[in-house]
Formats: sequence, structure tokens, C-alpha cells
Amino acid sequence: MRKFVSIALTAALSAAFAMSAAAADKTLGERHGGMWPKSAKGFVTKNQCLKCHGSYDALAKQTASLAPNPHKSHMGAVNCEECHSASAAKPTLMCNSCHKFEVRKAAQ
Amino acid sequence: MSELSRRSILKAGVIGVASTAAAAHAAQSSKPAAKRGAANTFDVIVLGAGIAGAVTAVQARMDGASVALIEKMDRPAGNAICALGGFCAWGSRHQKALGVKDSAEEFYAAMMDISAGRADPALTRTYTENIPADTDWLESEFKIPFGKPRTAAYPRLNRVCSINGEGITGGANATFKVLKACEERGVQFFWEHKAIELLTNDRGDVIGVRTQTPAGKKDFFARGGVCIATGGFSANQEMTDRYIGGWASRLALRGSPYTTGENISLCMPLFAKFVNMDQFHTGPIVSETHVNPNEILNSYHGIIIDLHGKRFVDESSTYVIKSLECAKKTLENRAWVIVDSKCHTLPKVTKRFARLNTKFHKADTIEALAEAIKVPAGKLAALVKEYNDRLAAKTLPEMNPPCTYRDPHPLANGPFYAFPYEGGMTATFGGPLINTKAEVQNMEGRSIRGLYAAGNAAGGLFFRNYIGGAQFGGATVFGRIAGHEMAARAKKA
Repeated sequence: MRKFVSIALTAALSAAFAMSAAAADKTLGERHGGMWPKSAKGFVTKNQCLKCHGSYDALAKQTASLAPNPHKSHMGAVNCEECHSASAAKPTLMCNSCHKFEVRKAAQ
Repeated sequence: MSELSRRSILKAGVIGVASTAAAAHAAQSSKPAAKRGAANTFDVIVLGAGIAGAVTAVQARMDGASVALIEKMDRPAGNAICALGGFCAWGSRHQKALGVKDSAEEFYAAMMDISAGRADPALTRTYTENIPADTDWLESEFKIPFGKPRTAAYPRLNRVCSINGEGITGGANATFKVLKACEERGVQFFWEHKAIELLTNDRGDVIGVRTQTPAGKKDFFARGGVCIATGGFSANQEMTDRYIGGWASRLALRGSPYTTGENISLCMPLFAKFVNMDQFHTGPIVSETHVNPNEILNSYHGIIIDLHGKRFVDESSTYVIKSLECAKKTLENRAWVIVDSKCHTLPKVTKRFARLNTKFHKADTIEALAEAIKVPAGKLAALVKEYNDRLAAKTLPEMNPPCTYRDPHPLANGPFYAFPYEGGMTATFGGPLINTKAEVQNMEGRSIRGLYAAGNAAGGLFFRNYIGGAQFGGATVFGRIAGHEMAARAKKA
């Protein structure tokens, strides 16, 4: 069941990215409804995110067309909220706390 | 069990914790953070999820120990994952297969020489003797991919093995693979658990560690020992200022912002013997983008100038010295490497700069290049002419400062390039001295029972400089030894 939910959510997310500009203005918190993870006792929330969003390997495949690939780097399994904030519509690349990347489509 | 009378157990439980709490650097706590039980007692505790910690943990596990790997961050976040992937070795399977000829004596001599004779000879001997098998172990056990070894900047022999990053840094690739092996083999991970205090019994043996987690403090206990693999103190400005100097605390960090000296803080209350505290590795960096410009400095082409067009260092020096001099001799800690189109490392360097979105300059003439980098055109042109004239006359060493290239190349074939760099802090070398069993030493020259250190957390192996990749090698050699020793000690407990 969890795998089905994960696949369904991934498909829904892919569709969501292709939606109109009006929908893209919604914050991640709004798009997640009541399902934005709350930290358990102050620990990071990535394991909760990954229950629906699969694994880091799966995320890396999903964003494989981007350079750099934000889900495949020497930083490993970065906590999702370091880039993805409930109060923002788009992620902020945490890599740029050290680097100065501009994420682009990878050259084919 | 005969030693442990009811009275001494009570004493250990109360006084052991209270005595460490009374020490200057210890956290204040009015009661033990956890009772000792099955859930928090292990044969071996390892602090730090870098390459040293991962190797220590997996080795102890392979020796049959139950292992807790305790890491303050939620993921590996130290220097290992930032490392490009150099690994200093001799005599490994893959080096022999590529026809590299070397010997233990020559390797040992090179390691002692690069430290100006101040590296601990016994630790250096241990590294030399173990590194061939340990390199092969990483390759065969964890499928860590070694590419072609390259010549070290010093002494230019094929001792810098190259871990293939497979899309990420070599250091991260190796660390993640060993950590995955830890996970698969049953090492228990405790992320976001920051070690704040070593726990000792009445005899002064290290019996565990107190950690701070977001949910509160938690104690862990170990039968065999605790290994500190938390890296050095490069990112702790108070410590780099205290032990090295204010100027060093202001160097750009080349690696992790989280290597903050827990090796010092945790061991200080136990009166560990700290060595080489003022020693560290410098290298070049561009702090804006964290690109590593070492390959242009290692090309031994061109000239190096400060932002005002003045030379300040012998270009024949190692990249370490060129970086150190940039930090010490230029006001801004910024310099340019000026090369021409004949520089053989250009393809590699320009590709790396482009991938990390870092600006460099290219121009058809020296004058145009000078304008791009905001240096007086006449001054740079005159300097380049002096360099070329002296090269032809074989009087380069008479320049000020001297230029003692062994094999000088003219700076004459456009287009010309200017690559920026700054002197950066790679890693500190100082730490608690270990012996060849990775046991931390106290001020009286004895091992602190139950306390081990490996990787950059440990002191003694490095002084002044190191052959590229020797930090990774040291983490592997002493991580394996620490893992073996603690697992064996746990069996006797």
C-alpha cells in the first residue's frame, strides 16, 4: 500500500510541476495540506518526507535532468527542509551556502 | 566481577559521573542522563560518521562487536565528504597492477621528510606497514573504485591513489560506501546525538559518553572503548585563533563548517596529551564558490601575483606554501595565477571552474588580461617580460622573490589566463596523541584506558604538511586498528 501511495504521490507531484502558474504560486505547506511533517522531539523531518517521497536514490533519478542534481551530491541525504520550506513555493539550494550554483537542465 | 563490589559500583555510578561533571569543560547535569542498560550499552562506541568513524565502526563490527556510531549531525558532514578523493598509499594491488614501483623504506622516508622529521616515527611506520593491505581492503571489501594514481605535488611519485567519485567527490563516495556497509552489517546509528562529555569510572577508564540530542541528554556505555573520530578543529575559530593565531582563524574554510574540535573539548578534562596544536594544512580555495584551484597551482606554469600585480612567492613552491604565503603576504589573501595556453592543466581547471560556476579571465594579450583583473597593464606586461627574459638567460632564481622552477616554461603563447585563489584552511593536525594501537595518551605517557582516536581527531601523524591523500590513509589505518583493539578489549571485559 505504501509503495502504491508513494508511486501515486510521485505521479501527482510530476503532474503538479506541469500545472499552471497559478497553482505554482502555492507554498509547499499549502500544497501539502495538513501533511507537512512536524518534527518529532526536535529531530530532523526527512525520514517523514521520505515515507511518501521514496528514497534519496529515487529523488536523484527524478531530478537527474538537472545540473547540478540537487539530490545527488557529496552532501548525501540532506534534510529536506534545508532546501524545501513550508512557507515557500520553490526550494532554495542549500548547496549555495558554500557554492554558487545555478541549477539548469543538464546538457544531453 | 570480583573487583566490582557493591560499594565500588555505587562509587562508579555517582562519583564517575560527578567527577567529569566537575571538570572545566564538562556539561552540568544533576543526574545521570540514562541508566546503563541493554539499549544503551555496546561493545564499541564510535563518535563521528566520517571516513575514520565509518572504518572504525565497520572493522569492530566485522570483529564481532556490537557497535554504536554516534554523529552530531543528521548526515556525514565533516571534511571527508568534501575531499576530492586522494588516498596516499604504496604497494597496493592496483598500484602494482599499473606498474608503480615503490618500497616501504622510500615511502616512510618521504612521509618523515614532508613533516620535517617531526611526525611521530612509530605512527608513520605503522601507516607505512599497513597501508598496502588497507588500500586493498577498501577496494575489495567495499568496492571503492580506485582510478589511476597520480604524482603527488611532492615528491612527485605515484603515491596519490585516486578514489573515483562516480558523480560526487571521491571522499564522499568512499565514506558513503563504508557507512552503507556499516548499516548493512548491523552498526547502530545515532544521528543528531552530539557527544558532550566522556564518562569515566573511578579508575579513570573511559566507559561511555554523554550526548546531547534535540530530545534531551542521553548516555551511552561501552565495554571495549570509545573512539573519537570527530575530525579536527579547522572550523572552530576560537581554537584556531588560540592554537595557531588570529590570522589562521580568518582563513577561508576549504572543507566542513562542522569540524569544531570535539577531539580537544572531550579529551581535555581527561588530561590527554595534545601535540602539534599549531600545525595545519593550507591549500588554495576560491571562497565564493568553493572551487579547488589546486591543479593550476600544481601545473608549475606561469607566475603568481597579488591583486596589485606584484609577485610574492616562488612559483616552484608546493601548493601548500603558495597558499600559506598568499594568506600571510597579501593584504587581501587573494592572488592570481597567470598562465598561457601551453599550460597542460588548463582543460581540467577550466572544466572544474565552469562546473562550479567560478569566474576566471581569458584574454588574447597580457595587457587585456591585466585590464580584466584590474592590475596596471604596464606593470604586468613588464613583469611578464622580465620573467621571459630571465627564463631565456637562465636567471629566474635572481628574481625577487626567486623563481626556481626546475623546468620553466615561457609565458608567451596567447590566449592568456588568470585564475583566482585564496589561502584556505583544510584541516588541523593537532590533537590528542595516540600510540600505534590508536590509544589516546595522557600527560604521564600512559594510555587512557578505553579511549581511542582515529583520523584527523588524533594527533601525532602529521606536522607541517602531508603527502596528498594521507589524511584519508591515516583515517583508514588507525580506524581499522582502533576497531580491532576495541573489539578485542570488549571480549575481555
